[in-house]
Amino acid sequence: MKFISHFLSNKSFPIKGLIILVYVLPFVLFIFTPMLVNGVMNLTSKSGVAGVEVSRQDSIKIAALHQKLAKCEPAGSYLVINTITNTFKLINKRTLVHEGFCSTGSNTKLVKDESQSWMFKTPKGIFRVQNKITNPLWKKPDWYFIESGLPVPPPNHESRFEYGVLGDYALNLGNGYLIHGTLYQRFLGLPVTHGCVRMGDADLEMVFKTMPVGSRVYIF
Amino acid sequence: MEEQIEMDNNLGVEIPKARLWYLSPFVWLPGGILMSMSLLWFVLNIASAYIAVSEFAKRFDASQSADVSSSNLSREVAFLQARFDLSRIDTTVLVMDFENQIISLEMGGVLLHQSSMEVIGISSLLKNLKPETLAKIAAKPSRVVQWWSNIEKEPLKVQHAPESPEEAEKLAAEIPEVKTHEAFFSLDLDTGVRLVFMHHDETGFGKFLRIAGQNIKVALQQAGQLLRGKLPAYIPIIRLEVSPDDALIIFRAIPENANVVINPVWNN
Repeated sequence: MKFISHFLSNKSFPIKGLIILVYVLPFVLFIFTPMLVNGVMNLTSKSGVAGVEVSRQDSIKIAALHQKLAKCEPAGSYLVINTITNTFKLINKRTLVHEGFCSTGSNTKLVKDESQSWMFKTPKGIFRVQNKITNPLWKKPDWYFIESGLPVPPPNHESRFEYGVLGDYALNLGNGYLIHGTLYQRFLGLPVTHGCVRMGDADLEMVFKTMPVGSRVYIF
Repeated sequence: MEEQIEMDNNLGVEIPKARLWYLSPFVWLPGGILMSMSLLWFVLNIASAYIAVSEFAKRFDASQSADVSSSNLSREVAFLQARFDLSRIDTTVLVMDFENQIISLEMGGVLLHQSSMEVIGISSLLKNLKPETLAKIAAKPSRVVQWWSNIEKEPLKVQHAPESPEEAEKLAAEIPEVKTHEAFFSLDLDTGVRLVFMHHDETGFGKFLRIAGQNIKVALQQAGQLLRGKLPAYIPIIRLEVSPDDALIIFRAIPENANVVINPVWNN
């Protein structure tokens, strides 16, 4: 405080003030110039929309394009799976029928050695239900045995086959990816799978019964 | 030690020589250089903004759309046509409808996720563009060429194969960690525009720090360009405030070089 009062009362204060300005202003200018030049303004009012006037010809085009875009959405049932929140939406006849939690790929790389590794990730994109299976039989792939610390048996060894693990139903999306049930219902809503999509029993039954073979599954 | 003193003729008082530091050229010279550089910095930034304005307008005024001529092209037709064109690809497309203040994620023309833009901030360059130029921006889907974020886009875990069933059991019993990620990110589009995503619930000092941090980042980038002998690049910004959950979904859902469709209707 004494220093400040001395500083302010000193007759040479204007010169010292100028020195401070000379050293501080460059840093202020350095940081704030991009912001000043950019002049980012908030848009608040919803009135006064700018744009080119829409002619009659354009309004016909707009209606046609809306129609074209609407046709992109399947008329029947389809499923939207969100791998970020691990949720799904079942839509039928363009109406949301059901939504809930699911489990998707854990994004884990299982490494056995330099030559062998597996990536547990749910693929993103548009898929179609290839076929539907009741009471699916799981043929355990090699990674199951590696992950369990067990020796890998021959391809068709009886230890590879197990009923009940995949729940009561499965919908095949191709390339070995399924939508199926799970014994680990407490993990629903978490990314824990090896790439397949797991659902709770009741949700899976609804999806299985609503979605015919050929219907689309959007995974993002 | 005896203190050296000298007589200041103007003030008529005795001033110790040691206290005259503020008149030393060693104080004024670096300060002067620093000040001159910052003024030059300011001027160059303004110059680069003017160049960017003319180049931006030139780029879009020169570009011709294959489907609609520029004379009767309406912004909405262009926006819908761009969305329809991108409905043929099976990756996630970011659709930014400023007219309705809605951000959508679409795949194959199907709506995957929708969120509202709570607050929009926009560079004066974009705000002052002519309607015809805005229509041309709407007609051409942009691509993300570069992005920055405070979190990983696709976090990857590496797990080494367990040696025994006992070790495997221990690993399997572990309950997966549930992390709440807060995503702050920016997307640089090939049109030269930067989209900055922030959270609408962030206020006060935290928000100030984030904006200041962003400005320092831009300033450092521009300083780097200046040091390499280039004019600092002016980047027009669209700043959007969305909910934290939506920010995370948008960031993680879109591919690295995502297609972005913009309906550039800025409200006055």
